[in-house]
Amino acid sequence: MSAIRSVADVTRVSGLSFLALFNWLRPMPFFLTMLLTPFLEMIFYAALGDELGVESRVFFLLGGSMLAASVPAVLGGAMALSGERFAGTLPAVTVAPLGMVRSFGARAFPYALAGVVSGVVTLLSGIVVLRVDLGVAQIAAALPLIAVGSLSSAYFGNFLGLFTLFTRNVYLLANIALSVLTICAALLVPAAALPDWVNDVSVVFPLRAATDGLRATAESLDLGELVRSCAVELLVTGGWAALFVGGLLLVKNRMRVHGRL
Amino acid sequence: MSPGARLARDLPREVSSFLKAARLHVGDALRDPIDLLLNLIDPVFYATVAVFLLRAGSSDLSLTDVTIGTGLMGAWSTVLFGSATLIRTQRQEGTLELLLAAPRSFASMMLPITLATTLIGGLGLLLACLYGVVAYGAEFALSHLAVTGLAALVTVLSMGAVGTLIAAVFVGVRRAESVASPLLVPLWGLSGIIIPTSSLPAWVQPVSHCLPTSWGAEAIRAADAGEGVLTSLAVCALLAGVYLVVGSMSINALARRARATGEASQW
Repeated sequence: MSAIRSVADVTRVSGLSFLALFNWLRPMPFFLTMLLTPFLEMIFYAALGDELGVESRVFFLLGGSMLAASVPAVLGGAMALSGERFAGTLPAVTVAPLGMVRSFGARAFPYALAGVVSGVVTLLSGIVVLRVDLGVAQIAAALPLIAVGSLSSAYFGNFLGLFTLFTRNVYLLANIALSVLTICAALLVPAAALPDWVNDVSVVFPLRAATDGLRATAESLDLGELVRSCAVELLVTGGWAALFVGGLLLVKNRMRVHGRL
Repeated sequence: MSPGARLARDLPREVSSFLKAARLHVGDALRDPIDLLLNLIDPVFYATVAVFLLRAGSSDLSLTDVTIGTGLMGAWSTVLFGSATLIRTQRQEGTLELLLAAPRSFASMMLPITLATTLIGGLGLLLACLYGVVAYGAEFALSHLAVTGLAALVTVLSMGAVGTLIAAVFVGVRRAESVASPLLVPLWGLSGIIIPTSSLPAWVQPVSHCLPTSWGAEAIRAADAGEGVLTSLAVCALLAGVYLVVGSMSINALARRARATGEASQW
């Protein structure tokens, strides 16, 4: 019973912090920033691909959808800690009985959920506007891949957010990271065009396995490939979640020892 | 005193005042290295993506065209968000009421800020070109460099002129960043800065020709290829002038209304 209550508490805290810190209480800013903007960016890169004679529209549709899923996840995750500090609630969260790890550990989920909404809307609207022929089975297979990609991005963002306690503006760091992710995960650029070392390094970053799986599944639906891609992406998610929790514990101890937030 | 004589008397003072204000706001924009970096990262990112795409593709577009195009994409981003959040920034800094109360036209207070934002956008364009040269070996024809530079300067300044109108439109918008965000891609597309306007759907092309930047982008490409730029550049400058005048008049009209009704607090 207490476990259920604990899960309920964590879910409620995560949901409330998501709504409050990012001012998503009104739907219009969310629509403009998280749905319309990534959709238009995807259309632009598809048109640029057409102009430069590179890859198909499906390539940019899938990459753009994954990018749309990762933006709210990375930026939201990165600003979880800085948002609390900006709102002046970080000291209260630090000493709350729920515990800092439980309070922040589940924050990735609402950001990932926002990412899934953004990614799926971009995918579906892109299919219509770009007139891409993608079967229902392929669309259904894209959902878990977008979800795991979004979740790993959120934990990656959470990890970046730890630096908010050392740097003045974590938004800059998150933007640089997002640019690096976009290139490393081959979201808008064919992997074959990237240098070998970038392809090697990208396996530890979020999105790469999910994006490769998304493109492979769109080409020919293979359940084994879908499961393998999800599993690899979840492994990456676990790695970044562990780094985040470890870093959070270090930061918490540092805060208590030095009395600084 | 005749209006002509009054203008001759006041002009040097007005120009001096404008330049001082522009220098102040450029200094202000350069003061925060994080804000500056945020503006400069975008063109480098766009250039990286576009160069990889160019290498993987089969287009006739040159590396130089792509480098300039991505630099202009970054410049648009800086100018759009800078202009859209202009009023909000002044409100946050507590200077909006002082500027409104100044015994001058409100547009003359806003134009130096828009110019400063535009110059930061121009810095992004310059950085993208340097990045293209150093990292990817983009080549700019040295014999046409002065004309290309002039075309780029006029194009970036024309963005600032459009930014003046954007600032006027965004006066009453509280969530300026959210509203401006989806405008960026249409501006990139309509400006023909990386995808030529001839590739746009036929019904969009007349709209594109109403933007000075579409003529400016054409002039830059022509300048780098050693072709004539005079017509494109003249149309770009003319259209920029129209945007500047309409934007300034709109801002002044809004400021007059705000002073008369006391509604500046709602800006």
